[in-house]
Amino acid sequence: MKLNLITLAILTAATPVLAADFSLSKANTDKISADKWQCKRCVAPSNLSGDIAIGAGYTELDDVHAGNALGQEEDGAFGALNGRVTANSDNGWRTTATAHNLGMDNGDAGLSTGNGSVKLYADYRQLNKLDSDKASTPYYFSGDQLVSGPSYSPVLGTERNRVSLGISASTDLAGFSVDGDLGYRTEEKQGHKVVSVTTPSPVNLAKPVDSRTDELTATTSVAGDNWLAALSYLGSVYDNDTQEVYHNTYGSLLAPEPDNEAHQVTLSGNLRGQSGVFDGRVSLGRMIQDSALVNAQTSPIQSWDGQVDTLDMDARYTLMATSRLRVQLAGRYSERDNQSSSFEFPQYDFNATTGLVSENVLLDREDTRGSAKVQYRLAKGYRLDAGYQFDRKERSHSARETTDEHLLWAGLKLTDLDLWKVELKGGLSQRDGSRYQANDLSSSEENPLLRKYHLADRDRIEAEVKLRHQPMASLSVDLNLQFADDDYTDTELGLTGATDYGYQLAISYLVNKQLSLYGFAGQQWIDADQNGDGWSAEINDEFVSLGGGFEYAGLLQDRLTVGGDYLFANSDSSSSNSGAANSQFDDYYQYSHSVGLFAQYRLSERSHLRLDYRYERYYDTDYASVAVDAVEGLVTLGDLDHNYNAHQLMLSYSISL
Amino acid sequence: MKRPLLVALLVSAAFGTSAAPWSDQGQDAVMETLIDKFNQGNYSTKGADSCLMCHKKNDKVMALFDGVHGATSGNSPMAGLQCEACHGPQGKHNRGGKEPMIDFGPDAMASAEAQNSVCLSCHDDAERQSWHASTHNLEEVACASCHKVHVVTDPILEKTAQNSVCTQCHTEQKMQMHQRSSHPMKWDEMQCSDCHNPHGSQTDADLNRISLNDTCYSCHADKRGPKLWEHEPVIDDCSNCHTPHGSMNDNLLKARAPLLCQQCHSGNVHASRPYGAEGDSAFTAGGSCLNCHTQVHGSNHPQGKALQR
Repeated sequence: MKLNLITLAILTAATPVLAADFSLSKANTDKISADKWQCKRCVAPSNLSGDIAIGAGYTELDDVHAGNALGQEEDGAFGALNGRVTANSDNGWRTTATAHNLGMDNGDAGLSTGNGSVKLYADYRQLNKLDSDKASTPYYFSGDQLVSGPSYSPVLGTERNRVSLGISASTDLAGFSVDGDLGYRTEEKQGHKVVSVTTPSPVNLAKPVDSRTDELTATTSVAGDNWLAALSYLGSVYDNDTQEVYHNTYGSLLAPEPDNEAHQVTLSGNLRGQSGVFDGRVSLGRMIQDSALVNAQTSPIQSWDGQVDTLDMDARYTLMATSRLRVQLAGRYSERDNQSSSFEFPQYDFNATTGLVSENVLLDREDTRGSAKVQYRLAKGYRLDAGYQFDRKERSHSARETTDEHLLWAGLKLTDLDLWKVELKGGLSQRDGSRYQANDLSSSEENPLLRKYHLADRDRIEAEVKLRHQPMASLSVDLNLQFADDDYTDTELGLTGATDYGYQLAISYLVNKQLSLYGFAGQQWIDADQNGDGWSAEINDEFVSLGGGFEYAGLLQDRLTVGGDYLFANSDSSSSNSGAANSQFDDYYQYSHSVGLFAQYRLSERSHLRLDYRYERYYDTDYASVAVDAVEGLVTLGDLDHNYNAHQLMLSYSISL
Repeated sequence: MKRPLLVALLVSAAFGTSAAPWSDQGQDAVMETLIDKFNQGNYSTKGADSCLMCHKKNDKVMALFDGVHGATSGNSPMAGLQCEACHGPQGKHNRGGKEPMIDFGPDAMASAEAQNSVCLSCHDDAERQSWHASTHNLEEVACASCHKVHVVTDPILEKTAQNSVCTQCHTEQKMQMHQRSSHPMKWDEMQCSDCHNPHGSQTDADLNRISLNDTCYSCHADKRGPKLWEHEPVIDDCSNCHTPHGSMNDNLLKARAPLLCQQCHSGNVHASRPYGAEGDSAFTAGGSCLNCHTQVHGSNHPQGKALQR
């Protein structure tokens, strides 16, 4: 198949291609008398322009989780600064400062300046992800010591503070365009997350999060008329300030995520011919960690030298063979080579299967892939696409050393129908591979009939339909449908099949210049079947979202604009297990109603007064979320379900500079 | 903040731009004329002043001067061939306005390839090196389908507006953002471009980093390791267990424990047993399997083989 396509590509490459290329470098400027161009009618940008909005508001909430939607996690008054201000200097520098919800719990600010050849930027961002303030635990962390005391409620969730700095510059050198980028990003992450320790009975804990990730990126590229070459470096260092979880009675219970670093050097580029483009990439990477091991007195080593080397190579050739035919051939090879040291470690003797001594296994991985894609224009507005891909993955110490996957797909795109655009796409894939085996390192503890789903034989059918109907310029209707069915053909135990299907419907209608309306609805269903030893289970996930909104700008002599948005979302997952006494799992669903309303009044040509109201109704329940001591032998963090109404009102005054 | 954007896009699509006077000629004829005009190079005698003689009353045209492309110095088109740098030589367009010029946008008469050749002649850098082989290029998406030039600030470059632009086409991902768990894109606290390069990359799904896992590690470096005891599906591919755009389960998981874990583990001890309780067992309540095997992303504890420590 692949060879045939290459032959076809070579044969058709001889056919002249009518490619439209309006590049500036190809412009015929022989007749221009640019010295006569004065641009008297051009408008010089003002020295200072932009908008600044100062707002004050009030949030009413009784669950910190509402802060995710409202950007403010505490009850009460707040202030916020939003805006964008641009200053233009006479020497061509343009400096822009931005603020978004600055002063609120989730906000960001940025500053950038550039003159077309050089650009510098600085960006600050605070991102809070809040899970719950209802947790209850008697366990405290004193350094690495886990101690107990009166129960308290740590807020589960993380706060990320991110600062990015960068500079980029471009110049012409010896007739080539040379670009350079240097970027630095540091992110501090703090909060609490749920972990669990075995004493040996399990205890859920709210473990502090306190880490920092620094990232440095540097890229330089050189470009000629029809080629580009780039060399880039990416370095990332993760520094974890939290310690192990140690208990006086139970000893070392949990190791922290180790400090680590990763480095990648990538050489990439493209070469553009008259009808074909080649682009390729070679990347070498190394991930390292040598943190001191916890509980090292039971270990043969005090610190472990972990090192994983990676190699990734990609190449693609895209050929515009004729004005009707386009062919793309692609290949990939990637390798993960675990160079870490290996030792035998005495294990925690919780049960017989864990064993007393185990050697850490070094997992290697290789991925080899080839693909071909063809686009053929049957007629104007009628395009036929087809493609094939072969993907071989090889994994060391795995229950299956090699998997091979073949994917075949085709599609039809109709864009020239009266008022309609239609896209159809369908594909088949088949995965098989080497003999599935139980070996000492991977699956001696597993039932030999089990097939892990990412390694198992699998047949997949997928289809997609996209319809767009635009009966008039101001009205559009989009309907997209997706379907995928997985059949794990050789699996007796494990995931045996899954079907995922859904649709999205969206309508936009601009009634007139003052009034716009939109509405949407979408659903998704995922049904999965799996077998255990003597039992079978079903998982049925169902999601629905629907909403709509309007904006009307024609009130009070066009000085008042009002608008509103509403969104409903409902996720429901139900499961059953034929072998269990209580076969049906209990409730596990979530829904939310989100409402946003605004009114903006134009006070003058350059100033506005705006009132925003937001409402969030949120409910979720999870059968696994139970009281601290509801289950004998298990200590949880309590019932973490949510059920709240939250409101936010904000008045802001904005001025245009 | 999303409302003005949506309306701006709608207004732009429906009312802001009337059909070009040459729209009745058909795309093939228009392209033939444009290529001919470009080769002849009959530029105007007065540059932008020639164009603005007629177009000065159009607010959208004049908004160019508020943005970077309107700067009359540096590398801006207005510092070079001015309007005709992008719209091509004027030719006889000034005689009644019916002769085609290069126009831009998803509904323009100029082909996407022709439009994009203009943009790429300046925007040719490492960030866009894979454009020619990218999905968006092969799908004939014009730069101006996503980007706006005649504006103060291009909406897709705004943190609060980018996701709205992308999800106009990527509706499945838009829907999934509202599921029980998702990355915080629905609140614009994360942008599509944090993970994807819309101008193409050689990684699947046009991801920014060398691999899917590397992309995840850029924010989740704690999962990167390497760790003493690895969990094979984790180092293999994060998407073995997680769906990045949203899930009906917590933590972006494809299914929840214990059933998710039991899709790969069916040993002769507790992993093989059927569970279906109402949260009344340590195997289903709390963290389910993770009550004991909490280190599912790998453990660095000498006694961590079973990912318990």
